Amino acid sequence: MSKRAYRFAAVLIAVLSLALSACGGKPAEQPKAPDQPAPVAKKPAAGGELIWTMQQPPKLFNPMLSGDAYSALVTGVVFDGLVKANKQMEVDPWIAKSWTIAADGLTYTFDLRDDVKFHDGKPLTAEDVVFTYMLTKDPAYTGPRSSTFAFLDKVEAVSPTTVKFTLKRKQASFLTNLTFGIMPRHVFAGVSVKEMDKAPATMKPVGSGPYKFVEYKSDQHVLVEANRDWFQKSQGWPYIDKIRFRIIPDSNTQIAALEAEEVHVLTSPDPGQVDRLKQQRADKLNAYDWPRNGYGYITFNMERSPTNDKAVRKALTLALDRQSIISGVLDNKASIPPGPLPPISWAFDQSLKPAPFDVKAAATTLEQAGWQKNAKGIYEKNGQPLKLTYYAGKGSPVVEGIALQAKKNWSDLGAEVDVQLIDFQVMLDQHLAPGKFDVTFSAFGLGLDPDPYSLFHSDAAKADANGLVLGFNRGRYRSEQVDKLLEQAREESDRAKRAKLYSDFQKVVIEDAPQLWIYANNYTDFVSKKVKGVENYPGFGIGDLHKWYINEQ
Amino acid sequence: MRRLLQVIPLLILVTLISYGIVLAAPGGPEQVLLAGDGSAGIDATKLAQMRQQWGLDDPWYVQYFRWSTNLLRGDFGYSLTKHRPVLDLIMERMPATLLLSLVVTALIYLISLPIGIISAVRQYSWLDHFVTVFGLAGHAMPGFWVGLMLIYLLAIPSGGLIPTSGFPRATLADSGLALLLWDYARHMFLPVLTLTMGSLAGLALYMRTQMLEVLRDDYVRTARSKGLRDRTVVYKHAFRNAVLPIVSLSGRILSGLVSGAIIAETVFAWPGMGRLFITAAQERDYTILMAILLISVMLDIAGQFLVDFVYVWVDPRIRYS
Repeated sequence: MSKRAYRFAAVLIAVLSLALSACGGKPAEQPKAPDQPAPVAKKPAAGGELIWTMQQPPKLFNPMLSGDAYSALVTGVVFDGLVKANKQMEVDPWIAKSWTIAADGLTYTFDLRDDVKFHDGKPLTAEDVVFTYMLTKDPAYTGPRSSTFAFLDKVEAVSPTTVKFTLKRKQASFLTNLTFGIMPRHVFAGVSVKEMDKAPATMKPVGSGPYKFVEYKSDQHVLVEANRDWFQKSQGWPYIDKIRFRIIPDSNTQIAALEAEEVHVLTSPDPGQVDRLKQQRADKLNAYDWPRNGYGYITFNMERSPTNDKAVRKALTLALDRQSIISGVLDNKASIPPGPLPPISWAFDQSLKPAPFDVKAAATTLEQAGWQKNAKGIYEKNGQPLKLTYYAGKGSPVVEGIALQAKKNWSDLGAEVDVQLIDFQVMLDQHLAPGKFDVTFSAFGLGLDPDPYSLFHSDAAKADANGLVLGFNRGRYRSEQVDKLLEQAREESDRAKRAKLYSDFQKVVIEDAPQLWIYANNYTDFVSKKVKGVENYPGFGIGDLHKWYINEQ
Repeated sequence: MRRLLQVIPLLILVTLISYGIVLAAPGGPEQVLLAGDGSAGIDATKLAQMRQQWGLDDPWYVQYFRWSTNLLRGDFGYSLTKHRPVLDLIMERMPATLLLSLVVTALIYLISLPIGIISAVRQYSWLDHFVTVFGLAGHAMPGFWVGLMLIYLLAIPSGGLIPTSGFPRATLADSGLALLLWDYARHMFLPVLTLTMGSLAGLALYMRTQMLEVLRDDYVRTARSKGLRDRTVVYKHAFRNAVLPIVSLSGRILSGLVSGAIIAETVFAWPGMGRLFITAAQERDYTILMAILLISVMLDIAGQFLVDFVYVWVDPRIRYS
């Protein structure tokens, strides 16, 4: 090599070694500082901007018209509800100071606060409550809340601060449905219900909540700023001045944005990344674990063979290695739900245990019901082989992983399994609604109230004139006993008595096995350590943005 | 003029077929919208009501007729899932897409054509090998992956200099021209890099192949033996012949500008038309889909026209009767 080359090499080596030495871990001699006693607690102060990520753009900023989670993020801070959910999945007074329920359970009378004002300064009165809830009763209303308020007969303003709700039937969960934001009647004056989705007030919402709507840049961000006149301002809330909800559609880019500290919050990232984020970014991020109030499950078609045979359903349940799914596909961040209610729900019967993974017991169950293995190793009964078509939505590695595990386990048992991964809408339309499937996978989430009526009651299995079932009871499960238990539990207001009814319900459903419950996941939300005061709601995740703060005194 | 008239039946045919295919897809926007509230089943009467309100139950030719007559009046229709006029949505997204597409297309042509030429002229040189190998590698790497790698390798370590994603937020009024340009440059750097890297290879290699072929032709040897400067031979004579097939290819640039780089827009949260199209397809928003399809088709046709004109300019042998 020439002299120049040697000199260049020398410089290069010198530079590289300097760089590499900087990369090494902390030198061994430096002792780890002992845990310092907590510094004097600093008090929260107003100010700062919080940056949140959303995976899809919100649709409408109208609590009665929009049903998606992203719009709900925004309406959740722009509007206030009559009541507010707490960590026990009950409701506390919010705009409503107190309420009384008539002895027959059909009339609810709410006493409202008189100091709540909309962002334009006008006071929030009973008329606004009436306006908001009567929307769902209007024949031209096409929002997603009509089923939720099916039992509501009417809402009336008795005085500017008193509202009366009259129900057609007793509904124990009714209070939990009243968390929706109250909209200002005067802003929607002159707007017909039919045209409400086009109204300017729907995209530029005026609420009474802790944050005022500032702007929505299509596909980019939503900006809200603090309402310093909020009825809870005596508590100092809200602290944070501005919240920007950034729309980032790709989940990997969201994680990158969190790691680059461009955003403060990321809710429920891909479970495979959670451990890495917890370990590598422990100095920058706080992790909030919370069990999901829902589960992923397989539905069996109760109306056709072979899944209408209880022995088949029980055998398939015993033959599926659910633990493998949880460790393989969900990174161990889930538990196996024993029955139709998620373990985090207050109505969950703690004594229940999931069916074991026992292939021998599965085989015995089938054989005792008259199934025999034929020459090809597939079970047969009355000349019909145990053939299953398994439908699931395309595009999720979790869903696909589960389908593959089911195919493997059930084929080993002695069934012929055909897995079809297709577009979700197509699957709903062409296979689930008309009942043309054997086995299908879906996921379900409960709201504040544990009532699973729409999954298990025979009402939800009713087919329309074209033979299509549009409710959630797609397996067409019908049980008189379950119907009665669910109807009673719906109307029973005593929590302990309700829990007993749901306990019986769970036992019956587990015995009938119309579904195979696979996982109740544990999600993790990440928030930058710069943000404090974060509340974690079991079953729902982080919330209460009005309590969060960045600046301190 | 005759060619222009031929366009009309073509447009009708294409839009008719597209409309038929789009409507034939199972599911509809009303289901996507009503499915929002996960805890309730879908009320059949509400579904029916929505479909009736939007005229979705009318026979397909009635719907097509309604759509095309509206179109002639400049009404692109109303987005069922976004609750806004389609034209507004497209106009909103167009600048972001054009910004990216124009810069990327310009870069691709400006870089790959010269590289292709030089590579051909200096065949088997170090540059030639580099172009072939790395060009193919760039072409083979999925854009999605390249984008993410760039985010992790460049954006995150840059400590805020290069943002991981998003559209620039500076405005002329707030920040002045210099800061505005800087903000745009910062935000466009990674998406432009991702899109350019993927497409450079194809065009460069194609240019190289064409040039190699042309450089072997007799008239090139004649020109050289006549004593013409090598540069004139290559850039004036050979290039003009080699570039003809590339001109044909380029007819699709115009519509490509608009269909947007769906993948880059998704990875970098760039609010363009590509994303609009993909979400509209997933949510069965017929009006948005048809509007974008129509625009694409019209641009394709316009692109072909332009190509014909450029042909005449580049190759004097070609004349139209």
